[in-house]
Amino acid sequence: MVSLRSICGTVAFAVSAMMLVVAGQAAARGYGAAGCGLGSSVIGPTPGFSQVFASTTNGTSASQTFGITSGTSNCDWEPNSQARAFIEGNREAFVKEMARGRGETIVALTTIAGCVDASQVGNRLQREFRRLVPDVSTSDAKVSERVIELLRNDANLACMDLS
Amino acid sequence: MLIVLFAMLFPDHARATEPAADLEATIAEARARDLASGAQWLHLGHWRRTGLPPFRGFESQSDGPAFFLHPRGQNEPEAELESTLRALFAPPSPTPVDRDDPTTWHARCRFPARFLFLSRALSLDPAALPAIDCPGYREYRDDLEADGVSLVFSSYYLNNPASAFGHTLLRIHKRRDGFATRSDLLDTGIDFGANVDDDNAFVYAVKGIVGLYPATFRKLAYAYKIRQYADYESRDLWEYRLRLTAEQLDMLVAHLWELGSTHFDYYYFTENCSYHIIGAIAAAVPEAGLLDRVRSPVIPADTVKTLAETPELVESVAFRPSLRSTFFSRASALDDEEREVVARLADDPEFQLPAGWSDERKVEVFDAAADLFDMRHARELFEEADSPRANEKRDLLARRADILAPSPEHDVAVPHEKAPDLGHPSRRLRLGPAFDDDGNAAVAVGFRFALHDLADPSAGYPDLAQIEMGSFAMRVSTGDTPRVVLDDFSLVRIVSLNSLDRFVRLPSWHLHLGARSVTDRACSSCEVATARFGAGLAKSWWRDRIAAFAFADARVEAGHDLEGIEDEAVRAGFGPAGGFRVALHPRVHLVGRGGWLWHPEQRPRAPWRAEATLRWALTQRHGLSFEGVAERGVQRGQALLHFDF
Repeated sequence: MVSLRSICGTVAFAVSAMMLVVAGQAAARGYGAAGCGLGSSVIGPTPGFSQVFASTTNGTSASQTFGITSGTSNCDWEPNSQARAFIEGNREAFVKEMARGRGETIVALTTIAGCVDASQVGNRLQREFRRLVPDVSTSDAKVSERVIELLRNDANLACMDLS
Repeated sequence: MLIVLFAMLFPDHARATEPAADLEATIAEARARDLASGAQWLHLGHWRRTGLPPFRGFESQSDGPAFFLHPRGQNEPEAELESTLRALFAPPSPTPVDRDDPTTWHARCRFPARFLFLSRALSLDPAALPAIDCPGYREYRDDLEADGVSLVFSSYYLNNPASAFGHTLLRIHKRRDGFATRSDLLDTGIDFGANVDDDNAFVYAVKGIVGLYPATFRKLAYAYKIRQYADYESRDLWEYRLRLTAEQLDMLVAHLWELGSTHFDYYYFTENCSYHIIGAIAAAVPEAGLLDRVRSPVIPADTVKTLAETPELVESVAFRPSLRSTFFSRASALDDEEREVVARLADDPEFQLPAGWSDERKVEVFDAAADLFDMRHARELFEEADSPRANEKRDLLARRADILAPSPEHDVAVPHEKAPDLGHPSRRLRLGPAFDDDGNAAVAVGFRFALHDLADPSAGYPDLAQIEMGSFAMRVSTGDTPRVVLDDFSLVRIVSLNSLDRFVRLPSWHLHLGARSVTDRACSSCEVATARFGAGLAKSWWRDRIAAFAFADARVEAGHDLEGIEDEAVRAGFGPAGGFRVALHPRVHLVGRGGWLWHPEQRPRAPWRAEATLRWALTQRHGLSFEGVAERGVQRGQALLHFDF
């Protein structure tokens, strides 16, 4: 450890001030493990999607004793928590791929929900896009709830892993 | 003794007296075979040799007390091994187990990798050990479903200096059996990072350098890392999948679990994310000697090279394009009219498409426009879910969804030459003759800690970026009175060029902090500290093979002998600067720069300077540069050979 530190001493101080000022600001905004299930990136304390990301910054700080957790979700007890966490955590990409009717987030959701065919799921989500995302005031939780409801109620999609 | 005590207190565990005999024999065998000084054990405890003979010793880089069972475990691998064996043989503790506190767990649940190693090395008989159930560890393994592991390199990101050198993390691949379509997004990421709890940037900076932040390993959905790097920051990801045996993978998974219970003091330059990510891999393949080949300062791309250079370790390399790369790939497949429509749509989601277009054509422009929109407004979209931008995006997507057809799959061509392991090494030594226009000869020498400049071969690096840290350039004159002149010292020098484009209009900028010798009327060959910043525009053509840039610059210099503002030892100037870069060949680059700074009420009033470099990279490590510098009254040329290592 001692030998490894040595190089820093010479350059460290001034570089630290200059190079990391911006870094500090970025870091202060905060990426880190957090949250209800998400163990996700935390970006800003704003409502909606970010709220999900940020839902517990309490997990981010140094007080977290065990960073390698056993579950995917801290809300594993809620129904369909994995699907919800996935939709909300991948919001920007997922909504875009809903509109496109295909994409890797749709494939992933198909697997999580245990549906038969990703292209059918994509087709259905694309068809219902305007209803599922009527406007931006629709919260992420609402969007994911509607998506899950849609998948669950469509017998053709046969999404077996949704309850 | 503890065991005997337990046996007395809890007669249920009477069998514990039997293992005790095994235990002493096992400890004796471990000692006789000197397992504690073997590579595997030292890697599992993250012990490194410290000090000089005869005071050589060990110190673990792990700084969390929960990581050691012996009070002096951090410095005594042998004592720790013995304590570990004793704890593994111990019956379950009667105190209740707290799922969030590893110190309440049985050693087998706490240190599954140590257990794995010791039971293999000492052929421990499972029947001789107490039966222990580790629900947390079991769930963790079930969740990972590990089938393989990749080291992921997230490319250079100059807009955030903390990421300027790139970043590395691990991706644990899930088994695919039965899931032909299982997505990458369901895999797990293991990241290592400092836990920052200061809002003050300066405090963060200083603490980050001197190791005052604890850093931990964290497990998170790999999808979030993709969202963060590939989408939010638009950085390409390179995934180096490792060729591990089932046993090595088992060891890695078990060891990552162990690492969850400890922290490491974070040092920005040495014990940083990349160092410890390599340290975790090294614990699974101790015989590869990975850590011995990682040098300080630890540059993330260097750790990728370390893996790539290890025979048989990298199985395959995969590329995941950033949002930016995806967009430009989409745009390059469009014709001019379509590109125009894409640009208009990204500005105005209501823009009406020309009449008579086929659905295929509409889909292509909508899909490209949505990517462009996400790329331009990434920050706002992530941070404010109900912003006006989010509204525009929603409207754009709704129009796309109205065309009821799935988008065709878009494959981005892999830029193979940009794979980070192909880059030249990060440190550099230079040497060669120099002459000035008065006929004086000198020997020019240079050294650079890191990393890359515009004249270097661009394999493995971004074309239009320069980032240097700790770089020196000196001349030793060979006349009757040898003299050393410091031509340049760069604490940090960054050039970030963003080519202006129909779709992206980002400013370019450069920054230099360091010292140099001044040879104008303000002083004769005196050393000054210098800080220079410029912002402006850049444009590149022909796939970045030709680039030109122009900046508005400001510079402040201070030095003991300098005659500056009102006879103070400080001067300040501002003015235009600019330059060009031509890639004559992937290994041959010509770079020219010049600037003219106006120093009001100072002498000289308007110093100018122009310089040019022609560099030919002979091999990945060697190169030859011809460099010329001209300033008022001085012209100088030098020819330098460099060696990267």
